[in-house]
Amino acid sequence: MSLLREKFSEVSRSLVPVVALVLLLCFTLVKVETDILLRFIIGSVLLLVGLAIFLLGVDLAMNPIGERMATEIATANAAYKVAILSFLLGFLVTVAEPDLLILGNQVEAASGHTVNATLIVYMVSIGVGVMIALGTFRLLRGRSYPVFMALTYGVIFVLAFLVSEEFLAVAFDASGATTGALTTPFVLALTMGLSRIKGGKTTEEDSFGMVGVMSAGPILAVMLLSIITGQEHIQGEAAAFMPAKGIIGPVLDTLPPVFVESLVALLPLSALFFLMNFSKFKMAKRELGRIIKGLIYTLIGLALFLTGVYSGFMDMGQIIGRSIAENYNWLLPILGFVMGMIVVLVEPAVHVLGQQIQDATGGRIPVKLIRITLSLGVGLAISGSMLRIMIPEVKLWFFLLPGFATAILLSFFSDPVFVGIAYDAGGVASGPMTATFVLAFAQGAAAMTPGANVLVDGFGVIAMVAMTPVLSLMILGAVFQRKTLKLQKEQHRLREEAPITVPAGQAEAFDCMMAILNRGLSQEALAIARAAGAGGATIIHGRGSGGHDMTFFNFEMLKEKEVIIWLLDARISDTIAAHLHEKLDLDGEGGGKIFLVPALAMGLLASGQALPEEDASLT
Amino acid sequence: MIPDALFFAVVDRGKAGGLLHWARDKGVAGGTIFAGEGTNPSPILNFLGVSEVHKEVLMLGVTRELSQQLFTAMKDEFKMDKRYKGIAFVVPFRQWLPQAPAIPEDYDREKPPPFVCLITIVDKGKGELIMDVARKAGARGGTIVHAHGAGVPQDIYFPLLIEPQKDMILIIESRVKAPPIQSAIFKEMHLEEANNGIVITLPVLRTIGLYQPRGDRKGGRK
Repeated sequence: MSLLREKFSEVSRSLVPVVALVLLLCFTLVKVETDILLRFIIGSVLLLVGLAIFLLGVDLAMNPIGERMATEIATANAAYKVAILSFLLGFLVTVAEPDLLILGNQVEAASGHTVNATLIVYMVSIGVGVMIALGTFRLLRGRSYPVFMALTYGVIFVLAFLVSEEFLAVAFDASGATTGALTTPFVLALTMGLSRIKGGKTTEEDSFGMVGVMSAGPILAVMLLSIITGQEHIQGEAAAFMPAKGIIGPVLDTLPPVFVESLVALLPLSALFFLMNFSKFKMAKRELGRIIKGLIYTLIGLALFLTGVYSGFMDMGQIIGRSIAENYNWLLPILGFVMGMIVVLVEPAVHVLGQQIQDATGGRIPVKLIRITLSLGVGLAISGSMLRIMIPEVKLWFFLLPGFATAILLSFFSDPVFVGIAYDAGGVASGPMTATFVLAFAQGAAAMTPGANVLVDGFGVIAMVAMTPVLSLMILGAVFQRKTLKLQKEQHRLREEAPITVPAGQAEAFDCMMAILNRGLSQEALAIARAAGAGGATIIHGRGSGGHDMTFFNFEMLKEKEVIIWLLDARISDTIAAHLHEKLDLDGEGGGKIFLVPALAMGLLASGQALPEEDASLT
Repeated sequence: MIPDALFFAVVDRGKAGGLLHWARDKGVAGGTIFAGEGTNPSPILNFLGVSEVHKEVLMLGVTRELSQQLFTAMKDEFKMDKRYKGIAFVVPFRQWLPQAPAIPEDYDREKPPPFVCLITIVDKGKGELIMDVARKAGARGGTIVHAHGAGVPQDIYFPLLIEPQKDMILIIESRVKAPPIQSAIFKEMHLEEANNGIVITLPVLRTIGLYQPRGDRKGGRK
């Protein structure tokens, strides 16, 4: 039961504060009708169950599919194949995203039908596809990520001067809509797969960053669309707010269309996967069965989650926003801060990102620290949005321009892993919860604030959420880097020496050698051992302590370690160990350790032959 | 003191950090943690595809004397001898240092240890299959660790070191029950052919937490 229970407890831990806050407001400052309150509670339960099942589905289906696709991309033997496949993946996961179509319709309506909704959806999907393809080339070619992102945002800045503020907001909104519940986990998994295959020293930092790359696609696409069509202003008003009546009725009404929506969103990717499995992967039945189960979980989980959010949380958000803006105007920035902080932790992608950080760094970077920084960022974003609603003179670019500029500058001084995580965080934070609950809250507040424009101010909220976590995590990364650099002292040298002669004849006994090394030493260790006559090896990624650990606001930062296991001919194991010890200079503190144990003679020889009397000595 | 044993503990994900802390208070110099997965043999969970249990493996370099103290403390403080609390075992790995050879000249390779640790390394995705085979041959449980092989440069468009993904399966058994399990894995996975994988057997001095089923080998997990 453990895996399912793990997901449930993870989700409930992040959901409880949200429910507690809303209930607290309902019983003190905000007057809410009973049916809406009950529906909120039903929605919370649906959200809990749906998100837990969805996360399970991501584990079972999205991650392996992403990894398979990554293998396919990385091992393609021609540039055009890599380009086509990565573009296709980016395009397909985006084009079916329901949020994007909603946004398209909103923009079409607001622009007086001069911009076609379908055109927006396709432009944005092409934008994502192109960015994913570029990002894939960047990763596989091993080019600098901060430089790549700085160039990308440089282009965005230049274009930003050519478009109106409304379209600037819409552009960032499109990026938030694209990085939805389904696309973000998939792109994360794809990146993880690519980095694993690429291997080498940069595996860890390569595991992140593609969501950041991808979210630039829609921004560029919408800005270009605005410049090409000459569209500048958005008019109109948001539809009047009408809370749904009843308790169970609205929930049941929401479920079927949401289910269809989720199915449509999942379909193109699944189709591509099955097509490729049929023609290329040919997975084992068991593995394929798991993925099919996982896809079903993903579908059911997503449908339940979105139903809960749409039916239970949206009306509640509007009412809280309206009521607070009307009666306790000054409270808006504070409440916005608290709300942003805790609501973001219920975002599905935040959980997926946490899992990925755990996996990719071997647990070196505490996920909690990332989550806290992320939620501080989002809290500030909502707080800033509230200020923008209350004071019309405060413009969106007051926040966006310096925020992104600082983040880009810091990216060059930040721990490389954090740079990827930070750029990803923008897309990760602007998921379905922000797009519904928080947005509804902001729109409610805007509707009751004189001088605020519901449509324009509403659009800007997601842009803010897409910026602040990038900044906050980049600051964390820079601080982290400073601390790490202080601690880094030793550097090892590799001396040339004559190789050991391997004794002739078949090995009769084996030793198992295990080296526990700081990350980065492993490639060298493997080369030294190979030169000394060792065969293949297996490497495990982990974390460990070796006396001098660093702490970071109460978080213990263990060093990243690699455990390498060899099976060696017993006659040369001692020499190989001696070589490793000397060449890697392991006498220093914390650099690594080598352990040896005689393997029992019941296995097979290195040549692949079974020992004849394998059982006799032991039974 | 030169550490002459590696102390392994397999516990639920998230608990290894605390255990490492605890061990350091007991005098252990340092340790390494990596992620693993346990499996639950329940057919219902298996059908639902959720039979995986997230685990963590903690590895401590200790002296044998210290390892005995750790065992006692684990029993007293963590009740590790009870079911579902995780398992711990000691492999007589000796640290290699210039002043002392790791394996003494007169080491007797034939002397049977009380328990053994079967380490199977196969291509990624085959871990659960191995567990099925091992269970049929009498194993009670095992831990799957995701690892990768050493990189092999490939001739493709991108200048990459392809690092083949591997599953490493740890199974602790008494030395009497281990050989049939090993033979079953060997035969079923066709390890006699090159590149199919490898099985290593390491001696284990002592274990705690190996659940003894009443009706003998009826599931159980680690």
